[in-house]
Amino acid sequence: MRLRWQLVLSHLGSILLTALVIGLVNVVLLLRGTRTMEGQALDSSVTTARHLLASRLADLQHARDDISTFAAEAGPLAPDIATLGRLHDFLAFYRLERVEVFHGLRKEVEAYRWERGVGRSLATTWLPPKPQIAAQVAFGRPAAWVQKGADGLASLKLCSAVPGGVGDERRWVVLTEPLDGSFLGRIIPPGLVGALRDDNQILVAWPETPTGPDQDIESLLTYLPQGSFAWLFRPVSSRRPAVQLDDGSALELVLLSAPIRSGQSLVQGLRAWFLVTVCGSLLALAIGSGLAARLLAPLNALLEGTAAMARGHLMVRLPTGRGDELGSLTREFNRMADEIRNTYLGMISTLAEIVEAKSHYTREHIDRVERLAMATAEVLERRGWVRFSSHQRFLLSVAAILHDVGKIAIANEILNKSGPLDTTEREQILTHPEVGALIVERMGKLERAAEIIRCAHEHFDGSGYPRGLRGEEIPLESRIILAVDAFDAMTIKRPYSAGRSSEAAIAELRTEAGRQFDPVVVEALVEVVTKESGADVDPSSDSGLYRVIHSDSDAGYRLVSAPPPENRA
Amino acid sequence: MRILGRARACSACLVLVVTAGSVACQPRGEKQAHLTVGTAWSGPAAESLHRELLRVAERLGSVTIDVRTYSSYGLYDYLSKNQPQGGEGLLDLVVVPNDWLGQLAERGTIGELPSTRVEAMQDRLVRQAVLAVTDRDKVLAFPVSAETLALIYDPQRFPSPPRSIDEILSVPMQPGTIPIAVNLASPYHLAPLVSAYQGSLVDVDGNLIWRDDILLKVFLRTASAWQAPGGWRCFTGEDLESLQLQLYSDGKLASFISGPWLLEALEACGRPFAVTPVPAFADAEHPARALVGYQCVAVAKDSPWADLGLQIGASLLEPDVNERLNRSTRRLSVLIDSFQSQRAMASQGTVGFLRALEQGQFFPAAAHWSDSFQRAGDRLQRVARRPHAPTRDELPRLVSGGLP
Repeated sequence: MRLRWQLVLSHLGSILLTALVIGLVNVVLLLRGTRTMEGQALDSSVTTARHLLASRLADLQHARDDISTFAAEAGPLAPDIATLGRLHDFLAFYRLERVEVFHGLRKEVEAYRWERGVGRSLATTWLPPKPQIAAQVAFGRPAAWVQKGADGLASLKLCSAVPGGVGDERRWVVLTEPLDGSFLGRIIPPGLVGALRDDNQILVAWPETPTGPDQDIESLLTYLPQGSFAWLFRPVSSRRPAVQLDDGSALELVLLSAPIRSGQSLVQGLRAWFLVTVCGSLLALAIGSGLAARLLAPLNALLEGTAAMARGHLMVRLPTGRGDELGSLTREFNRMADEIRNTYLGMISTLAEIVEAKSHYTREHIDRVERLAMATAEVLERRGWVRFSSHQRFLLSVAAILHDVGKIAIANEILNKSGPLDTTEREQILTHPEVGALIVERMGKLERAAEIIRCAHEHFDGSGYPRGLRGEEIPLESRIILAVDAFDAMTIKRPYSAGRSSEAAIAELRTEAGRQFDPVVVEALVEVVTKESGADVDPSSDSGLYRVIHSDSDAGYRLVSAPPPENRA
Repeated sequence: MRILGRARACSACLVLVVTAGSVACQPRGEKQAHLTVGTAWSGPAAESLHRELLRVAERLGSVTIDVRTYSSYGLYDYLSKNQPQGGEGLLDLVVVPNDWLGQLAERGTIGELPSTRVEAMQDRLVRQAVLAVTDRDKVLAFPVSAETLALIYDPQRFPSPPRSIDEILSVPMQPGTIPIAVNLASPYHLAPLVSAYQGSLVDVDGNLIWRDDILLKVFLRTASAWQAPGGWRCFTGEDLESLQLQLYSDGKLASFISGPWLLEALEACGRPFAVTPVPAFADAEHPARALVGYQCVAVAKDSPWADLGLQIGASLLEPDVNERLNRSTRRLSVLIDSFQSQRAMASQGTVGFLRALEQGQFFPAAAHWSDSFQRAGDRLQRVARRPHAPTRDELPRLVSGGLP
């Protein structure tokens, strides 16, 4: 795996680990918070239900008082239609189940609603079954108690003495409110399950289930809606005394809330955490990848530079902008590359000097050819004819230095012969480009330089040697070296000759432009020479020839389009 | 290339994890269906309905059902004015009489049943039940039970079923005993007596025919009962059925016109009873034909659980469920199979109501019927609200809608 991905993944891993820990802590806090909130919500529901229960009890007490007043004013009641009609008015107004009026132990009159009371054994068994209630009633005080019928159904009973009666002949009004699902359903908030208990026994539960009144709290749980992760949670329950009755007992209200809310909260929390983690991870991946790329850029450059040097590109230099260890490493690499290049060039120069020593040429000729060739190439670049890479410039430099290295195989007598050469001698002289190319090829990584040297005596019109190439077939570097070498040969001062002036040499070059030399190269060289020597040459005397320089990709030129005329000046 | 391949694999895995995680973390609890059912049924009928709905919900899975009971007027008001278009207060299902359906559909409260549901129930229901929930070729609800009114009488006082109202009124009674009681505030209860003189109560366009002269005649012909001491309270007032039942149970009422929902209470009251179609007046030209209504389950148009509501409505028409529901609410079956197997006639008094159903007259579920029926009820209410029985002289003015 690449270093970049290792860095990214380690970065991501640490973030995911952190997110996991945060998520777990979040879940724990969420669960605790949810349970607390649910408990609070349920407590609030219990309070509401207790309030409704108390309110209903107050209604019943009002009804009891109203009916007591009516009974007192009406005197002894007969079960005639008018009396029953009046009592039914009370039943309808207060939504009562049953009203009974007693005279002593004898039932004077009763009225009941068919839709709830009929068929249920809710009729009062006078007197109240609990002694303390009987005593309380006997003293004429209102009382409320729960009475269970033979069928197990419970009802809330409210009793009070009719004003004006005394002793055993006292008259009583007894109201009955069945403790059934309908009663509880009005009290319990929607969505909750609940029950009313008395002495730890369920009197009634909501919702009423087909299992009947003997159900316990556990059976109620099955009516709670189930949701996600319900298996993780127990239902929240709350039980509180709801109503204190006069027999000393208290009705206890039990409410159960489904675990569905806990599950939903957990799922929502997990989803939020999951989304945050995923989004955070994707963001971390993007940032980490970018950071890793920036961090590893100098290493990649070093890798590429080293690979280029291995391919023989001795001109490689890396940017040294960083001030850290990677910057130092880059600077050291550049220094190493410089050393290698200088050593290489030193060897080449030494070889060139050996060759030059065989002829009358001097070391200065090599230097001049190399310098003028590089300057001409620069002018060509500036004019937009061509773009050289640093490696191509290096190869041009090597080729310029070693352009005559093949002469090492030519006998000194032939090289230094002052008279005309015979055919054999001439043929021997014509072999030196090929020989030079072979020598340079064997130096390794300089195949392109060898090719330049091989073509350094080819003429633009095809009259050169050794292969008679023409025009574009000749490498541009070879055309440069040919022109530069000819110029230097014309202007060099020899022991036996003063050499031509620069102006004369330029005129000669221009005369041969298009025949022996590439016109474009000649004009570039003219610019170089003119600037160096201050020769009085018309700088605008361009041959007018211009063309797009074509080359194959192996040559390493970057193709450029012809510049506009004003830039060609 | 290998690194690129790994990167792609990692990306694919990441996408899979994100997708799977998103799906896994969908809060399924949010999809828990919760339906609210509104009904004007009360007491044991509402409890029975709730029990059946709980059974259906249990069978369907993650569904919770809350039943809200209203008075008849309360439910009508709620659906007309307060039913929201969504949220907590919305009643997803309503159990309503069929004569409300046209108005509710016209207001956009309930929607039409899909044809597949209609086809599925048509083969199982008596034809009239389907027609009763159809308005302008649209089937609007599931009819779950039929109801009509009949005469409940004491067989000890009437050894054979009374052949006319006059026969009932002419039987000697002890003082403080009323021979017959009818809810004078309800056109539904008065309809059989009115139709005895008038014939059909429905014109060809489906409007209620409610003539003042005939109504006055009915009032006058029954005046001996409601003008008796205490009699007016047997004909009007709150919680009238409870009073009538108790008076009947105590032997202070010889007969009264009521519905099959009282059968359970009558069975428990300890006094023998019999049921027969409401007899006509002796001089009437037509039989006394009671109106036949249907209790229907309609699905709110705006309910987010409309499909589930349709399923629950259809479930209430399954033979076992429907029979249990009608048996416990003492209403009459709408299933062909129940009549063919005679299971619909199983309990005491049911035959009398079924005979009344056969003789009864049906009314459309159209909105204009409900409007005219409600107007007739409002006018009757004005008479019935009087604390004391009106004199014969006051009656014409009262019946014609004049102020008392």
